[in-house]
Amino acid sequence: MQPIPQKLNHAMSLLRLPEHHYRTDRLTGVFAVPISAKTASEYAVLAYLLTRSCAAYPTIVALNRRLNELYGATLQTSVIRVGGWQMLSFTISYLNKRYTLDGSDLTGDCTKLLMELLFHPALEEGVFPAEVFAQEQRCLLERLQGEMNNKRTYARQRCEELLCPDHPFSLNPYGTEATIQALTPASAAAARERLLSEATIHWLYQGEEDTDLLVRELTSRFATLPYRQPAGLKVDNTFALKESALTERMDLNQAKLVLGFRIAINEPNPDVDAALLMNTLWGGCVTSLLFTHVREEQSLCYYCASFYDRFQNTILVDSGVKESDAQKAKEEILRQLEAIRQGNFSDEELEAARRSLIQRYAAAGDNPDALEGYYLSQTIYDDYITPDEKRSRILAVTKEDVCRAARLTHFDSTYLLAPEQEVTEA
Amino acid sequence: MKAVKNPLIGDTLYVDTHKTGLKIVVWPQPAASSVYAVFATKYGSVYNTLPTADGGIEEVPEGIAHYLEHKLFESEGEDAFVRYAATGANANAYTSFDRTAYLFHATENVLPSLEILLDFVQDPYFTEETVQKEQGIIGQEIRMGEDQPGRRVFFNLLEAVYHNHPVRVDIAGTVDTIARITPDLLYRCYRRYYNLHNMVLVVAGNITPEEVMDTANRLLKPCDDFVPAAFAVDEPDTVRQEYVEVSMPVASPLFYLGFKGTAIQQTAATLAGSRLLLQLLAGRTSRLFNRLMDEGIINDQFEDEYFFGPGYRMWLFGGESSNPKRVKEIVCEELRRLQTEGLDPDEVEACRRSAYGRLVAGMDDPTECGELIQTNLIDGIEPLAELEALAKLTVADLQEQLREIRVDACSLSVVNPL
Repeated sequence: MQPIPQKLNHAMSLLRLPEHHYRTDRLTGVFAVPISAKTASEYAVLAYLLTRSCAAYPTIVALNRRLNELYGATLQTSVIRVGGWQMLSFTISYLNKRYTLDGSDLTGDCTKLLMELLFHPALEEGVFPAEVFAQEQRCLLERLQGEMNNKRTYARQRCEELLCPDHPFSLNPYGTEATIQALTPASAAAARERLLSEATIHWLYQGEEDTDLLVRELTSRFATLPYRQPAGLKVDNTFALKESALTERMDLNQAKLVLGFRIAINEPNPDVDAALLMNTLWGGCVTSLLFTHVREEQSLCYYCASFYDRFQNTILVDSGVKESDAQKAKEEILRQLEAIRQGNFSDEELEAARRSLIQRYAAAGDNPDALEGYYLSQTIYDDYITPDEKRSRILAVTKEDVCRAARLTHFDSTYLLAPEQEVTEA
Repeated sequence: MKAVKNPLIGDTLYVDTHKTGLKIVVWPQPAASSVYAVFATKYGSVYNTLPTADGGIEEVPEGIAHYLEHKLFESEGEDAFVRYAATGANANAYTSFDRTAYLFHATENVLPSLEILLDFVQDPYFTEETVQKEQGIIGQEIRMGEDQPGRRVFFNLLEAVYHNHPVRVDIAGTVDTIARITPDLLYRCYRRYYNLHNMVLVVAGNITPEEVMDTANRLLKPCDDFVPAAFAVDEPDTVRQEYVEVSMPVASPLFYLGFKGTAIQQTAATLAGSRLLLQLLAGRTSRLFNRLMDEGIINDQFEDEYFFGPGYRMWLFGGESSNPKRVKEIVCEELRRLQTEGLDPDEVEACRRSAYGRLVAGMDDPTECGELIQTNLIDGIEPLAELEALAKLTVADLQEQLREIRVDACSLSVVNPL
């Protein structure tokens, strides 16, 4: 079934996702602003401050007692970057009325709670209380610092910085340690005013209830705000190829190799489907060329995978290898890209990749998180297609389309996170 | 198959013990578009011995259960992944301390995918060459694990808590131990632990019990009525080491705090009770969580877990902290306080309502449903019995379970920044 988009005003819409069979319903507000080094941390800390408490439930205990009353309804906050956008999303997820013990419908109470959090924060004299703010500032800083604990993710971030230096595409949505440390209760409160004024806002609702009440609730809440003027996004997608290379060392047992590529295909270009299939064939499934040749044939690694970011024209390929094998792995990764460019792959390999990609989209409908994630990225262009339509588009991609997508993929950067000393095997 | 309707959520599960000894559960969900299937055996890293011909016991190399999982995908003909590629199913497998599970998730060609699953798991094929080839791949998986601070802090805790129990050994083994694995050892482990009487099959999603049973009847092979003896190990009640720390490239210290419990056969009541207790003790409304946050020594990564398996049981608390030793002090204080003062009945009811909601919310797709039932079966718990047990728990039951947590039997594991 089709999702139903509804324009609520010039800068806000509601997307009702198709009827479903889940045991939970959910409402998500997505607030999108152009990412900038100056404001990323302000918005990030704000997102966590807003979902920690509000005027009606001013402490963690009070808010969570309320969530317990609502059958353990959960609040999720996420701060991500999609291309040049910083997206703050606020979700409340709760039991469908078929599963509450007394048959009560939680939609109204949960919607109200989410609105209270976003519109009536627990402020003192117009700013967040100093202790509350300090706690969330510390948590944000630790969240950012904690990213280095996952070395695979950390290496990919470092390669992204190498690939897109001084560009919004390499900004961390949490900002930097310095910008987090510079935050104040007043700057967070000011960010809230700016967010409500400048963000493009999309609401996503998954549930069986009529949305009339929800629409009335949303429009009345926003009617009290001054005229909103969403900030537009201007991102330079052009790039010059370079051969950047960086090796960093850490106290590790395994090297993490990440190769950065530029691809001249991004959303909303229809060739994105060919690029998605090319990426799956190259390193996006267990029968991919990278899995088959780098892992299974040469036993160089446990993982070797490619990741296409369709919002920022990049592909990263990463692998955990012995440092002495890094060059060999790199050569094989590039050789497999060349093989796709030349059409040197079998129909079976292409069809296996196609089936794998289609399965991923088809299965999204069975999980509320996955389905929301599927549509959330489409809010950027406010143009929606169902997983079934996506399947048809992927089925229509030809072998030549795939080869062409590979020919539009250009090697750019090599990042290696290596052990301080090469580990010798027994 | 026997139909069992759950009165709380209204779903019907179909349960059968197949003539081959395999326990099968089907959870039909006609509105779903996909199917999740998992074929699992009660064999994980803690089962580290084999009987010898002369009636003795032989210890096998660490990491062999995980190695076997990797190798089972290969056969004399096509590798299982290649066969799955033809159906489009998303297939995988994992090995934990007490189980190995082979699974797929599919929206199309479900029955051919189920055939592949049942076929390859019953058809081992190991040669010197293929076993040798895997060493490079698993060697790199082990190296990757060594660089994961979250994994290190957890396994260091297990080493500190347990004196003898093999749960203290890393599931993947080491580069040295996996080098000792041979095709013969793999076959012997397979024959002992991959008997259908020791295994379960769970299928959830858009599928009927008849479709599953028809496929099972065609594919399952008869096997001897044999189940490995219950796991036994001589493990003292005390912890081996109260504190362990290492340094790694991390930004702030990571910690795990574990309270060692006496191992028991879990029931739905002990499982539901322990999880509810942890919510009361360390959830977001607890005095403990808020005290730790107010002192600035935890963040929102703080988590708890009830961790158990054959011969082991622990209550765990973990996360990031600038002062893990202080976290330990406060957790112990709060435990003692609750053990003395007792639980607040109103808070128990509030958390029970929330725990019910979250349990049901955790059954939102075929994958979650299939994994939940598989976990129940391997743990020896009736499918979905936790839901009813949660409703029946009394404050006195919880209080009794709370007293089982021995504050003096705990270890703290820390990974410090370099």
